[in-house]
Amino acid sequence: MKRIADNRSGSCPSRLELAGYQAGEADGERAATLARHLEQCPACRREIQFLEQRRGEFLSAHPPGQLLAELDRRSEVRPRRLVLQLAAAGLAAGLAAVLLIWARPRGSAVRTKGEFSLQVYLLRQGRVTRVKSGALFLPGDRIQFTCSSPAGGYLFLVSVDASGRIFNYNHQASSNSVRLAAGSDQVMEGSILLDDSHLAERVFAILSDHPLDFDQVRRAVERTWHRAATAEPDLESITRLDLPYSQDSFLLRKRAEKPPR
Amino acid sequence: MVARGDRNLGVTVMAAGGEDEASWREEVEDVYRRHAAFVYDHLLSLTRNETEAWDLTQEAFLRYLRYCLSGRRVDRPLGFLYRTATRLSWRAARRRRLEPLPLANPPELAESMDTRTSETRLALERLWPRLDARLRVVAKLRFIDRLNVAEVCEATGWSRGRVRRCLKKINKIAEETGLGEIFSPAGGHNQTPRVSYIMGGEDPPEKGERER
Repeated sequence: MKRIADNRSGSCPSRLELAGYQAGEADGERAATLARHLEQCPACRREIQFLEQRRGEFLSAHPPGQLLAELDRRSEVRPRRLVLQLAAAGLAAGLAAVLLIWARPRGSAVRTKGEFSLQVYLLRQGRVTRVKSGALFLPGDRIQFTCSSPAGGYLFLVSVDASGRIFNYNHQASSNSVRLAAGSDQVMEGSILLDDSHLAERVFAILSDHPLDFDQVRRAVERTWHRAATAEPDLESITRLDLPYSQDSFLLRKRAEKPPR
Repeated sequence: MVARGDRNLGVTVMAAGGEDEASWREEVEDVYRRHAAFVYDHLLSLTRNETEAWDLTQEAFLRYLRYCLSGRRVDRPLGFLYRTATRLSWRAARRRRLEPLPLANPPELAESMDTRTSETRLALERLWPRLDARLRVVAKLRFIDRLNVAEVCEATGWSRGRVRRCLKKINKIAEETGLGEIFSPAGGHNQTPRVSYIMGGEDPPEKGERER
């Protein structure tokens, strides 16, 4: 029986790879291999020409301005489109929040606008971005914290990793809380370079009305850790320490340079 | 586990929210200029509907922008966009469960493109009405884009067994239609080892992206 697929040349790159090459995305060595292949393969050369031609046609029909306008429109329209569902969900969430606050008079994992909060900024490949809790970090990443608080107080930064090890993240590992004024996005001095540990880690920011020392905070971490402890405490679910102060936390997930397959 | 430094990340920290988004928009525009045509044609071949293909193209770029803004790195934007577009088209097809509008001459099937696969292309055009959405995705990736099985798995998020079952079904339908055997289960050049363009140095799919 005839095999239609056998008409193809097995050594030819995929269309995807050709398109990547044509757009200048191929790596040095692979680009050289593809260039050699193209010298010998008229079919692939035709394909490259076709891709180039299509790119011109497409951009004249859909200039980039169309996309950027659409990106703006989608980010504005989406909330309006969902307004009814959000209203219903908001009502339910409000009731749930009331119950939650009533049941837990000392703080809650639910944070509202204007509350004390911790933000993390990441420096990777020369670019600084603000990242969300739970984002993946790589060895060599550098991070820095900022805090927002409606009122002044004393700030302590501490972290615990998945093996239960505790780290003092105060500037210059200060054993006492540092003074924090009221305001938003206040930069904490100094940055932290992540090493090649693959263990997830949760960073806690504690805002108290008086200075705390590292021993107090460490005991609170240990209490929380042991209280949560099944055999392996889950950093995803431990969002607060056993301390009666305003808090926020941030989960750092790690992975090696090459993602495991 | 960490090395501490007095070095700050710089003044960009305070402005990162706004300025960073602006710089990423520039990068998205650049990526759009280089890859949008390929992504759009890919989606057009899958959906056979120009409006839907354009809508999904924009959605793919929106996801790319969001992905970048979340601080994650994309080594090969085209691989990311191709994978995202493939999955978006599959989800759209599954959601509406409607037959796509017929399109007379999808760009990727144009005669001028590649005479080498003309027989395969014509065979697939004849098979197309008999393939369901899942088989169309696999057929497009495997026989038009010439991805190997591992790359098809990576682009779709489906298991190797599932992709192989799809290929066997396509083969069976081809036999019933009198078009011969498109896929050789024995391997041959279909299994040519090749570095995956999609996988190389690429971030894994977002949580919830993988579908069974």
